[in-house]
Amino acid sequence: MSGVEITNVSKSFGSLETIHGISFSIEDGSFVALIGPSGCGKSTMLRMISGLETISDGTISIGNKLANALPPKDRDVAMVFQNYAIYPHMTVAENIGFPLRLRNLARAEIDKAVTETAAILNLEPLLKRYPKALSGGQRQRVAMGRAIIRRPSVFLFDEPLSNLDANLRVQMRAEIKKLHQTLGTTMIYVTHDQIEAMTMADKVVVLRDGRVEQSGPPLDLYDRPANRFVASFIGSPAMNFLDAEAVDGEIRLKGGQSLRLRFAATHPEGKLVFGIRPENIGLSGDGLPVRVDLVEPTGAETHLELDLAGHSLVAVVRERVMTSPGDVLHVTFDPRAIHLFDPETGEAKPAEVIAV
Amino acid sequence: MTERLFHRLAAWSLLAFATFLTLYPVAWMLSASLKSSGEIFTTSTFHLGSRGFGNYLSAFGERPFFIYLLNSVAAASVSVIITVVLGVLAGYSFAKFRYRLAPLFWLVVLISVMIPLEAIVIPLFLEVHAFGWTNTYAGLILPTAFNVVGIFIFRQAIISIPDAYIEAARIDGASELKILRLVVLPMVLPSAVVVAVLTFNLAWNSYLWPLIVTSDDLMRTLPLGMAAFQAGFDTKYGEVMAVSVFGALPTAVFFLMLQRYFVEGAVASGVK
Ligand SMILES: Nc1ncnc2c1ncn2[C@@H]1O[C@H](COP(=O)(O)OP(=O)(O)OP(=O)(O)O)[C@@H](O)[C@H]1O
Ligand SMILES: [Mg+2]
Repeated sequence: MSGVEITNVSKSFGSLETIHGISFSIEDGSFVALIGPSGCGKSTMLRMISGLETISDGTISIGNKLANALPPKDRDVAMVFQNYAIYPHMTVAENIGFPLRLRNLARAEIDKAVTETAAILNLEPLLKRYPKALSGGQRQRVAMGRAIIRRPSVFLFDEPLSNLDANLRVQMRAEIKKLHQTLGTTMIYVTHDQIEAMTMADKVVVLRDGRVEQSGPPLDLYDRPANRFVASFIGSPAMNFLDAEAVDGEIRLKGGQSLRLRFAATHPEGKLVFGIRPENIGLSGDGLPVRVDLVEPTGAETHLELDLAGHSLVAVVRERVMTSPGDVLHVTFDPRAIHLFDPETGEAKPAEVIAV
Repeated sequence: MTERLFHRLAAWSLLAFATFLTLYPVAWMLSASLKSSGEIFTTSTFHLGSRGFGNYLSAFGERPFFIYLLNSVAAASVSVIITVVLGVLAGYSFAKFRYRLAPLFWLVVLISVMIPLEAIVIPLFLEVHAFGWTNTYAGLILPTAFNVVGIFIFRQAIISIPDAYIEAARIDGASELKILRLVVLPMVLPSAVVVAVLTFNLAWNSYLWPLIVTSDDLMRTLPLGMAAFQAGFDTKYGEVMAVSVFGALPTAVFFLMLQRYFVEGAVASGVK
């Protein structure tokens, strides 16, 4: 087992730099999710850690050992690919035992390890089958079996669940998390699905365009996003952003509508972006009047598309609201759940706000 | 309903006609090999003649056809082995590795496909002669053993293998040769069969190079032996046909054995 230290890592393909000096550290035994929109460099980052891709600049250490120049096989990492990459001409048992076969272990030893690994993943009845006779979830488990049989010090996953249907994805998510608890090995998990990242990881690293936007425990990112990008990327439905300004210590929407919120201590002035998550909007008789545009009951909760003085707003409420488009409701914003951002840079502006 | 039946019938008759055109010379060869010289041009193709296996026996009595056969089998087998081994190595390299000299190497491959043997046969002979390889198996087999087309077929097949298979093996600790042997080759087996059959055929029918590089009768391959046999002043067509049947058999057997893979591989390399 070992941690991974990424320091100032850059990557250029030809003359085009796609990763721009990324640093973050992964503690021994932790589960870290790399998340970001398509093309932000998640896979490239993972491939550099595995050694499949060279590093243009910076250092990567695995278990306190500089890995920059180590070939993949000497890094003691195992990788699970998005398309599983299990060999069609080998049975499940042969696939799982492949890494040990490459190390020229004795047949009996390999068989024993394969049986043990298959037991962890509930694959025993399938050992003699070929991949074409397996379901997507079973293939996924075979790919994981091939990774864990080696007992590597770091596991790398590149969007391992994105080819599965929604139900299976939830089930495999839980299995991978349990596997992490059982093995206690460092795991680095790439995904573009923020729910996966939030539910599985101890630490989430949000990437955009080859840079780290923010990293930290999932709930920290949710509660205190460092900028508008992270705020919009984490959480579903996404945070509402409204153009606003601070006037005399009070927050008003563009157009003048008061939000009935004011600053407790500091008094920033001028334009800002007001952010509120849909789940932090409450319905209350003495709140701000809003017009209902759309009602989407999901059973557990109700999604509302609202219009607040010409600004559109999404709210998620737990109670069942009997309302229809065109009605007028009244909303309040939880002052502790308010996020303010600089309209130019998108940086979060920490400020304490109270209701008035 | 009747229209469909009509289409069926039309298709079947077309196929039957094509099959007949293809098989007629073969049938003619088979029946002629059992006939005396007089019978060949006077009796129908479906007449079985009076010689029985007499043509076969007399032809084999006159010339060492078994030696020719062994020479041909040796040459074709070595050619197949060399082509498959080098072809899969080169194909893997061209398909999955990027390096500065790769385009140059690829150009060399293209050029060597485009230059026919006839164009370089004299300098090649001089070179082989300088090695002292005339009338030796090395000289007979090696200079033309490698079939460049093997590189193309393997490259094409390997390109379609997703990189993840290869990278997974690399992370798991496989050397490139092991990746080739345990992962890549099994996945392109049908293409390997195509390469083997094409190369076997090419080597089997090779005429010009063996003709030039051998003069010793016992070094000859089947096509040479057959040609020499035929070239006598009185051509005995019955015996020539007997020898032709004998020469065609091994390729037919080889093809039938690998037919399943061959069709699969030919289709795959056509589609991809
Ligand atoms: N081999 C390559 N050659 C050139 N550019 C590449 C190469 N691999 C990746 N890139 C570029 O690097 C950037 C990051 O790619 P990467 O595959 O890491 O994205 P990603 O975050 O994994 O996206 P996705 O969610 O779509 O998988 C992209 O702009 C991509 O075009
Ligand atoms: Mg990716």
